[in-house]
Amino acid sequence: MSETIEEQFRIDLLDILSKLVGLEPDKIKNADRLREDLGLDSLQSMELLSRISDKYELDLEVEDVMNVVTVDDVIKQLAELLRSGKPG
Amino acid sequence: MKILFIYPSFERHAQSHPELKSFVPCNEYIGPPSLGIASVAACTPPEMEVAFQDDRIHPVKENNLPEADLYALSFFTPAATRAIEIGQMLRQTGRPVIMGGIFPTMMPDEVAPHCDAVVIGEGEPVWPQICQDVPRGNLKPRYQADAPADLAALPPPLVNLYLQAENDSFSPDDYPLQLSRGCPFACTSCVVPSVMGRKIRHFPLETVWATLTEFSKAGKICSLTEDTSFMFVSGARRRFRTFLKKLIESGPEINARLSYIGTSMPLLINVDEAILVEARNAGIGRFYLVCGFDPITQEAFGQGDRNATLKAEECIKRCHEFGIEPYISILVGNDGDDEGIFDRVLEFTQKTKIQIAEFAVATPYPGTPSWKRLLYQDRIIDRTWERYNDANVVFRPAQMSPERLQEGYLTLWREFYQDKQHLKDAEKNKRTVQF
Ligand code: SF4
Repeated sequence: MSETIEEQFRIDLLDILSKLVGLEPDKIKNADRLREDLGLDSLQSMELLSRISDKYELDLEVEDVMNVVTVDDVIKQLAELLRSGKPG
Repeated sequence: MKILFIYPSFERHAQSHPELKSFVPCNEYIGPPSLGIASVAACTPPEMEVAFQDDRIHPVKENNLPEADLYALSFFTPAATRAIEIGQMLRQTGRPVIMGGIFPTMMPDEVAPHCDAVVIGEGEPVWPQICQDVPRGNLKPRYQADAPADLAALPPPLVNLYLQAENDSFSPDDYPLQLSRGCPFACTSCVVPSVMGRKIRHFPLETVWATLTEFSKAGKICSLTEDTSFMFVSGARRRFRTFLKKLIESGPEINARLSYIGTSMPLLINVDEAILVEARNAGIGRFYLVCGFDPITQEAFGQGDRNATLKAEECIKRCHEFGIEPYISILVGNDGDDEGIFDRVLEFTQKTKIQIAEFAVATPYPGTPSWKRLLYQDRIIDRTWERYNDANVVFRPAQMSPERLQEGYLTLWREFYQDKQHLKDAEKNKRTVQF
């Protein structure tokens, strides 16, 4: 179940990333860092989080995403929130 | 018991600088009072009578003091000078005077000598207690809630208090509609996190809708002044979209009209196009785009950074593409602003074909990070609160003299509107600027 959710997050994240910064989904790896590898500035990272949390009805707080660096971090953080029952 | 809520007056730009009236071809518009009083008044026990006096329209006069058993003043920094004056007058009646709002929250010691009780922070949670304490003669000098107000438990603001106070000389077209309180960010010139807390709390959609319905019944337009609507934090964006959806579906039934949403370039630049389409479809025709608080505009205007300027241009282009007019409000005098800022702002507004704008002098309002910093650096040169109104220089700027900043602010108003005198003949809502 959790793997499915994480996989779904990944598919959606790649879709958003490709729309936001024009990256090809198949070129993005889980270990890619949002800023250094994918070239997102802080505003684009915020927009990425806005779109994904909007889609999954999750109430993210600034503290939740302070340590998010890679694509994998985003997926894990979202999955954790979903499991902890914190959706809005 | 009769409670009189008073909204003390403050100087607008055109009162601080009457010459603006000759430059700016727009309505010199007196805006609505903030929702603070209406929201606290709604928490009054039903057996008590409430009344409202807008000191801007019906000034409190020493030789004709209004009658009440309790006076409650709510104000922000620009109105503090007048509020203190009113407090001193009203205390001659022997009836209790209470002060609350942004300024008393941030500077309680400054107002305490001029009233009987100060409310620190949000008024709603402590108001029922005050209403009990007054008749018992048990008023405490200070009231402060232990926790932020539970917005879901608050009744809708008593907007009729304002609507009934309108007359031929004062009838604002638009009133604010609050979707949430608080913000997790800490922009240097903003007082919201200090006053409302660093967590976004949302009003239930029912409360927002009830308020909108009341205003719409009176033919009023509503504006969304807080700029947190597009943020991911605390589900703000999702709730905002739910509100837009309801506006699109049910707004016409109540004749709802929205004038603008407050926002800023960092929030606008990447925002999902779908939201811009929804906002436009919900009838929102304007963004009130605050500039000078955020890194994009600070770098673009303050230092002429090329990348930031391109981003700022892109933002305006987005507004135009989606048919939402950018009404920009530009703050000048930040520490990063050199003397070139005035020319850069004018060049930018010309290039991006901005039609309507207002200009503000950076002002270190008590409670903001910039107030603390400038106080620490001993750069505050004026503590006359009525001059804290975005129109006067009250601190020593980092890269120019106070006089140069003041003159630059006036130049912006004058030169921006020089080639826009045709606005005089535009429809009323296209030439309304609060100045
Ligand atoms: S300016 Fe806007 S984003 Fe910044 S602290 Fe204030 S409310 Fe928050």
